[in-house]
Amino acid sequence: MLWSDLQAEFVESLRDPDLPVPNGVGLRVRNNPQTKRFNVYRNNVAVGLTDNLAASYPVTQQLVGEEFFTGMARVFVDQNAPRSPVMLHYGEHFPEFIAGFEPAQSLPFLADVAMIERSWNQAYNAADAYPVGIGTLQEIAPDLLEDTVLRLHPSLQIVRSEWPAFSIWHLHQTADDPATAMQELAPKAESGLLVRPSLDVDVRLIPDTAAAFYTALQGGKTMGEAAEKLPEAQTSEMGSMLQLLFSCGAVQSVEPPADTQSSTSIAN
Amino acid sequence: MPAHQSSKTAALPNRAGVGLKAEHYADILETKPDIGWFEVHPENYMGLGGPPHHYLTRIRESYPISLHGVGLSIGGSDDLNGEHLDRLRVLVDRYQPESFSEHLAWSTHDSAFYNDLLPLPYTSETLAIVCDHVDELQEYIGRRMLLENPATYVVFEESSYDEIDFLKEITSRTGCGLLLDVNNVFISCTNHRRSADDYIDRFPVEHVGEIHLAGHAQDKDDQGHQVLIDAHDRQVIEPVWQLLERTLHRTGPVPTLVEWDNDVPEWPTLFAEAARAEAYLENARSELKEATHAVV
Repeated sequence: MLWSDLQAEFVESLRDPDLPVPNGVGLRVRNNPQTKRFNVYRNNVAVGLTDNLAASYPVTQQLVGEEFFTGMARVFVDQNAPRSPVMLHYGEHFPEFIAGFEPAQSLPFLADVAMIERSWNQAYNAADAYPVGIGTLQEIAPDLLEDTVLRLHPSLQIVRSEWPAFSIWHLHQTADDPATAMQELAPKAESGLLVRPSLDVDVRLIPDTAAAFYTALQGGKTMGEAAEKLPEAQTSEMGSMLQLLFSCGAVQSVEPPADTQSSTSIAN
Repeated sequence: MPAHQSSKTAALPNRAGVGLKAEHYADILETKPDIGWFEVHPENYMGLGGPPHHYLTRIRESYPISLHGVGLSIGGSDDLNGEHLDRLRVLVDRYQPESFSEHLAWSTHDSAFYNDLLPLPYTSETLAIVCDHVDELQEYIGRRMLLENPATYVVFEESSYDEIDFLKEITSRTGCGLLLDVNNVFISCTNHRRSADDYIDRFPVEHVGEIHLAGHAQDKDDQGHQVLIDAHDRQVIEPVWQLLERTLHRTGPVPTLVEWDNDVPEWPTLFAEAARAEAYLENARSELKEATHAVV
């Protein structure tokens, strides 16, 4: 048998424990079933992938318990074999999967907490860059500000939730008994940002309107265009929103419109 | 002579090293332990930035390092993954490791990745595939690689080569070196009821560039026979240390690594394992000196 054909049989049996061990595995000796031996490989693959998800989504796992998490992760793993040998990014679609996973519907905030954990991993592994301080913005002539672009930090992630997902995540980092502490939370929407200006990922709550403003900036909009995302009543808060963005190291460079002034940035 | 054989890269020292774990970054940088070298899985350093690169860069400033790939699927019938080759080359260029190694195993089929080191039959067909892949990798990263003997739980009816003959044939066709994992020898020989001593005695030691040690788990197969599992989750057991001694007796001092990847202990526990390996290497160095004196 061609090796590629035998491999095809091998992986089919690997993925489906109800299938027999592929022909050709084991020596053809009478009464010598290879099931338990073959199961070592089945187990390595299945447990390896679910453990990988558990390591990336620890709060999600705490919220549902280990047994439920493992069951849910197995269903995900069955439907989402990795396509790359780089496991750092495995499970990027796990939050969306959770959002559609029927047995988890009693915890409607679960997918959003998972989204925070995915964003944390993305911030952790993102490209490095030196952030600039708000002073770089103050150097720009006032009449150019509207057309100025802020290049945001490559690690910056913005997450919006209809639930207090950030408070839930935070309680699981700090509280002795997060399950009890969670019951005190008001069921309100929350937005937050995650950024890693140096080694540590910083997680902060932000006003909901700031999320739209930051997302527009992140998409390459000018400050003027991004400000249009703010409701009339809140344009006065733009200053404090910018202050927050710079203070957490989320701005990589300040780029006034070309042909007027060269960009003020620090190359990495 | 191919470029990868003529290029002069510094070699790993003939000392004990350990697999580098994120849990130990801070301990290592603070205490700068007297250890020969560190080994990493390049796949764990394939993010664009962040703490993994920060710490590896600092540790690399003080220690030799080895890149030990787990995801290339050298034994698979799929073509090697070009993107993965690119990522490996980027890391080789960035960190200039003293050694690069991979496994006689496969993990990818039909572009799906199985996140394990899966076994292959030893036939003339698979020999040609493995040799093509080793050639391609060596060409791509511009250096000689070491290929590791696997820990296996099943054998294939089709195999027409013995594992050692298969490895020998790969070294002679590709010029690659071998990474002799003594724990894998112990596991595979126990699982397939062969003599580990005999395996070590027959191994082509002239090609060995590195030795691995690790702990393993135990289970039973359908007949109730013992099956050992390459878990890397505990201390190296006594019979494996004895097998190391037997190996070093043949190879002389060779870079020797302790791998501990799951249930990772506190740094001092892992460092103590490396110190034990270093003691065996010290014996090997003395033996070598005595032998040299005897000749002179």
